[in-house]
Amino acid sequence: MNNNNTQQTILEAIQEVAPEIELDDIDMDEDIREECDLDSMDFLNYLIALKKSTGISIAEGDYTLVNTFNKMLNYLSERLSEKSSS
Amino acid sequence: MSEQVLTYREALRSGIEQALIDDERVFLMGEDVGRYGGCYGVSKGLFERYGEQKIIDTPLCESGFVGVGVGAALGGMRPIIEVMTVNFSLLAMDQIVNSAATLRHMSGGQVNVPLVIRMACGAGLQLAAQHSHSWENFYAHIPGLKVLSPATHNDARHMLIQALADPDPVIIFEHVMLLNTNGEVSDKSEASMKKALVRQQGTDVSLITYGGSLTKALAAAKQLQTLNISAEVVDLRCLRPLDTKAIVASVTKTHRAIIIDEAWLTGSLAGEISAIIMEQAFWHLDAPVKRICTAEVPIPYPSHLEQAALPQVEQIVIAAQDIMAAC
Amino acid sequence: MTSTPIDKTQTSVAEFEDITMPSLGADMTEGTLTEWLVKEGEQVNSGDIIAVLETQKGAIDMEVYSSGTIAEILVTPVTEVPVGTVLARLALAEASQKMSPQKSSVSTPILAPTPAVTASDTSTELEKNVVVSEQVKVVDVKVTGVKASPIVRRLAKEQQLNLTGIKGSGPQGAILLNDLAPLLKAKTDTKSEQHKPADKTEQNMRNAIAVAMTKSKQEIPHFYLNLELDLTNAQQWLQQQNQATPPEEHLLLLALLLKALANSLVKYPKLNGFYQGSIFEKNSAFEQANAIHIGNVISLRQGGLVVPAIHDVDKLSVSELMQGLRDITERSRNGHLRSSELMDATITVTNMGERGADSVFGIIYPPQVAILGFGKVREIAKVVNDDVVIAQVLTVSLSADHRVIDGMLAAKFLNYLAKKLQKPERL
Repeated sequence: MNNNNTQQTILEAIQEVAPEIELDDIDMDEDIREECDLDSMDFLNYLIALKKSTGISIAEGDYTLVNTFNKMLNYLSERLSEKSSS
Repeated sequence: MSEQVLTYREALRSGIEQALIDDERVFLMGEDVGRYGGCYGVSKGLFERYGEQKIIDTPLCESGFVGVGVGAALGGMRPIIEVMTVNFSLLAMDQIVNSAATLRHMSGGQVNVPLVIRMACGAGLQLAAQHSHSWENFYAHIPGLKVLSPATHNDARHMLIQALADPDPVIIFEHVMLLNTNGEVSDKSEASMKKALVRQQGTDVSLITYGGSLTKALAAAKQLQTLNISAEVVDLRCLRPLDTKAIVASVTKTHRAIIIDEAWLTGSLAGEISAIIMEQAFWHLDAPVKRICTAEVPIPYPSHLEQAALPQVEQIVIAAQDIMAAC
Repeated sequence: MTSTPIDKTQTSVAEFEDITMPSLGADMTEGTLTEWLVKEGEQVNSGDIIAVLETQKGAIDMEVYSSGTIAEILVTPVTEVPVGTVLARLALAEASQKMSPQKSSVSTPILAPTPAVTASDTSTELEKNVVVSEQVKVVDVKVTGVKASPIVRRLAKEQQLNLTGIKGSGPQGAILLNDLAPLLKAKTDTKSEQHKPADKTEQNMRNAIAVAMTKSKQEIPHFYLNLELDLTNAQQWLQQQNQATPPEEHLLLLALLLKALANSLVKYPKLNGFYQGSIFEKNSAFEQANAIHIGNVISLRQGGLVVPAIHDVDKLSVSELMQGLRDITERSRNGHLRSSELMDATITVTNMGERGADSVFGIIYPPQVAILGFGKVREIAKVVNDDVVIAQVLTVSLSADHRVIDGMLAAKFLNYLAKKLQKPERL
């Protein structure tokens, strides 16, 4: 999955909990919960949606590694390329 | 377009004359149509002008001469059969329904019956129970027939020609109360014979009618205008097939419908039209459809009783006022 | 006369139950039926969702509470009706069973021959075969829906007009086209403002909240207690639990808080129930609820809030509770909450911590008698046994009805709750 696809996937997962959010609304390097007004339930559902679409499970301990859009993008891209190469 | 003022009778005669001139296959046949000039004087003078081959006096036998007409049509002629009044057509019902209307079907399309039957109809001349019928609905019920009702002088003039052009049997009803009246006639028809026409535009209620009742509907519409009710008057013109599109269009616009039909209420064409409105324009209705028809009695002889039985302008006006409140 | 005895029970009228517009809150006076999900003749079981209603709280799914067959639908969508209006009638399952077995033994019901039949031979013949069946009495159903002409109904549906309250000038008060004139004019006036339907819903929701909260503040003597909950253990336990599970099984703190609350209510039932009437009424009293259904304040992204309940929280495990929370959160968003969820809460929780407040003094939702507010989790320095340690704490605020609860009880309750949260594994 290339970068654009991943970006789209992340956006779609966000839109599942926050349907009104568009890419332009998000500052890529700010805390995604602030940017999209997600509470802990929303954030959890967002991760679950990502797991559904990418197969990647994000542990609670890794939350700090995925708490901005760009960080999530990198995190997922890494793991997805790992997956395809393995 | 040149306009003339003619009596209804004269308009009819004019139509017959044009038919005789335009097509040599056309002839007129019926009781007293020739030497007498027609029971109602419609064919007066035609016998003298066109001769006994074209204007044929028949014996007093409806089933016989209508049958002859069917045969002539099958043989390639274009007969105009005049049944003196619809009241006598009962005697020719078998020929009309089982021969004229049905031979095309029964022959698998091998033959057509290009027959036109003209009949006087309606009440108001104190001709009493047996001679005042409105049986447009009987004939409009039969597949294989077309039924026309010229309510205006222009239609009286031109519908016959349109009917003769049709390869299948057409019945034309001519209301006796119109015969002496004057009206404008132009040199062509306003519409094809199968179309209804809106004689007066309106927005509050559709007055749907045909034949001899049209003048009553128009008079009622005029009165209703002074009462601030804008009535649309729809002249059906063709009773089989009914111009359902026009009916639905009018009711869609006004949301209320009153049908004026000189036949008896039960089993009337008004019932058929009401059903059509229910089926096709239900969601546009603001009130139930009303029917104004003749009281269910054999038509009386004394004038005041005859008038009491028939639809009247006042009834239409009252009905329109009621329907505005959905009563 | 006849050989077959007539079984009167077989021809009796089936037992019917009215399906009415529910009241989804003390303040609700009317609701709109927007869609039927069943048809006449359809069989339904208790708990099935049979209609979609639009209330000030948004769109909700209406359940039926008995099993049977939909006998008659009396109100067609889209119509707004007062609470209590009969929307449909349900033929109850037991009664209809009573009807069927007997049917086979009755031959085609033929009315007794009229006196016109004179031939004595034939009449005795006929009498032998004729079964006079008692005609099933047609239940005279009073139409309680709005009467309106077909075009009015169509316009109301197309333009989402509210027909209740419009005076009909037609027969039996039926609404005619003319009666709609002012409403249609109003519609064309506001059309230019290009409001999305969501705004109307939000306004209704605001109104509902306003009514309820005003009533609460006017009638309920609130008092407030705070307590700082030490959640260090709880958070640790959660972390451990979640490490070993995939995201869809992760537990949130709120689930623990709710479970602890439910357990505490078992010990302190005086906070879980309803106060009906006012002190000036003779039979006003506190009625203890017989189950613990916790209402959760969920704010909607587009504005407004809903408070669906999770039923029997004390009987759920923490993970079941978590699933329940996720479920109602999702359904709150897409408008598929059930009427039972909006009606049944015995106590309410507002979790303001997510929004960044340290504590929240909630307004009790009548006729409940308490509301708990959870603030945000904070890290503080705390003194424990002469040592300074870092602890995770959260302030819980209890707003309680002083007609039913007094300070002592409330304090004990909060301390009990605090204690419960020290042993999260036991919840």
